[in-house]
Amino acid sequence: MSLPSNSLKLRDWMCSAILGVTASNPAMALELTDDLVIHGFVSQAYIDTTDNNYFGRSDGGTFDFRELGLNGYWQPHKNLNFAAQVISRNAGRESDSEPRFDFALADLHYHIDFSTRIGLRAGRIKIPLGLYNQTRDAPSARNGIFTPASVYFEQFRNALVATDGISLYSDISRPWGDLNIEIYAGESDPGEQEMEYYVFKQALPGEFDDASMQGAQVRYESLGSGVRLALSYSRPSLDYVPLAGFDPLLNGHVISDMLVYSGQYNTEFWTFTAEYLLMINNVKGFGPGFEDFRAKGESFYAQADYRYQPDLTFSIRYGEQIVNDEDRDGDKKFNPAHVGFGKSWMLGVRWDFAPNWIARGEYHNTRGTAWLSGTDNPVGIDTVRDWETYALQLVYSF
Amino acid sequence: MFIACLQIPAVFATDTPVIITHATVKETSLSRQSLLAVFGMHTQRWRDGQRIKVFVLASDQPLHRKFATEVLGTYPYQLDRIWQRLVYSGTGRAPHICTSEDDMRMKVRNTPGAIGYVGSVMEEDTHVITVE
Repeated sequence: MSLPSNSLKLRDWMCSAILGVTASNPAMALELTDDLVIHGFVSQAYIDTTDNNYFGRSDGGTFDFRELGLNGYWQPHKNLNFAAQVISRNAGRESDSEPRFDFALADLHYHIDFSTRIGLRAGRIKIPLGLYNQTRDAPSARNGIFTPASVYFEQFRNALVATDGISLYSDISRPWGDLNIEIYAGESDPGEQEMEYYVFKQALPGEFDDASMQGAQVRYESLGSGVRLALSYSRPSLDYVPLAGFDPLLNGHVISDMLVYSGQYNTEFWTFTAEYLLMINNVKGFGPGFEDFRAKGESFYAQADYRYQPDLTFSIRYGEQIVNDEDRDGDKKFNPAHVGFGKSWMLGVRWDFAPNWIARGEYHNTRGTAWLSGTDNPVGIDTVRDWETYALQLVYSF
Repeated sequence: MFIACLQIPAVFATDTPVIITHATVKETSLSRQSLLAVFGMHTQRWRDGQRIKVFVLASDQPLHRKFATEVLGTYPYQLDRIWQRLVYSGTGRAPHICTSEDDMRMKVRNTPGAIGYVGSVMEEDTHVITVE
């Protein structure tokens, strides 16, 4: 559901709208009426990598990574609300800043009692996977300039960020805490070529059609959110459509089972977060030219945030991704070997220097190229195993 | 007189923030769990079916911090995180933000279903919620 006509004009309009709000109303959302609220954000990053391209042509420094978002929430009836968000995201070749609907949904809900709500959302809905997938494109709502790449890697992003379908949910608040359960099913757009690089390490003649998505999440928060736990399951299933006449591949499938365990512990000064992803990919039916295979991948990260002051937070993170657990060093099944894994340390600082403004700075020291975009780094042997990233980001949100 | 003037700010500084509501709200006491559900924007309706309208001060305001820590038993950064998640995932909305304590008092008094908080009770705060 991209916005085809005059999309660049729309992007410029979004930019002016956000700047207009900045000038007129510096501290808060735009409340058009009691029941209609507008929020938005704009971010600009500078990224310099010692080698490899990450979120744009970063080898040598780039301002390519920027985000614009505008969203509205309208509640015309006590049991019904609508919400939509348009995002323009520029981050390398896969995200070319063309505005698209990030979500656009109707939400019908019912309160069983004062602290129990059930509901149904239909339309384009965000996929609850881990603690950050639903807000991975909202710069003020994620835990760094980039969501932790080992778990929230970019190759599946188009299939995973949102799906066109329905979700059923319940929010239960009790003296022992809050429990949120959500199940969903829908169709997603897997995007252009990133999936092809992810599975086949090259661009293919044909393309992956719509991805069907099913999944569920159970989330628990203790009263006051000291402890947050989540268990998420997601099953993207993608069909390959060969190019008629010229394609050596048949109409195969890629089906993935993704399971994410998430935990977070919060105190006044500290936040500790860890997430673990188990991903089983089944690739089959591509014909004699490409053997069926099943691979188990593992990822995790652990992060500690220290709020030195309410407006100044220091972070340290370690993350690791193993694409195939039968080849942890990548030297048997991958060429170059370092595309089979990623191991990265991050040091970061976040400064909320004025209401609505955030400045971030990060340093990443990475071994392995598992989460590099194939479309931004099309020649695998040109990528470098050990690389560093310096990144700065400025965010305005209201 | 002079002494009385000096003492008032001292009382303001040590008081626990007080929850106020619009005159149409029938609730007179709520548990910490219910307050977290209301200020976390999960519970959207009072027991009589009336829509809840939540008013807060900006996250960097001392009274907001006091309310979050002493009444709700959480931290401003947690409330921000909860509201940001709702807004940017399309699953809910954030509260109305007031510019000052006076603005909060005025908006809560004039908006049916409203709930907010103040630093200390004044004569015009006729509807107050106690924490169970």
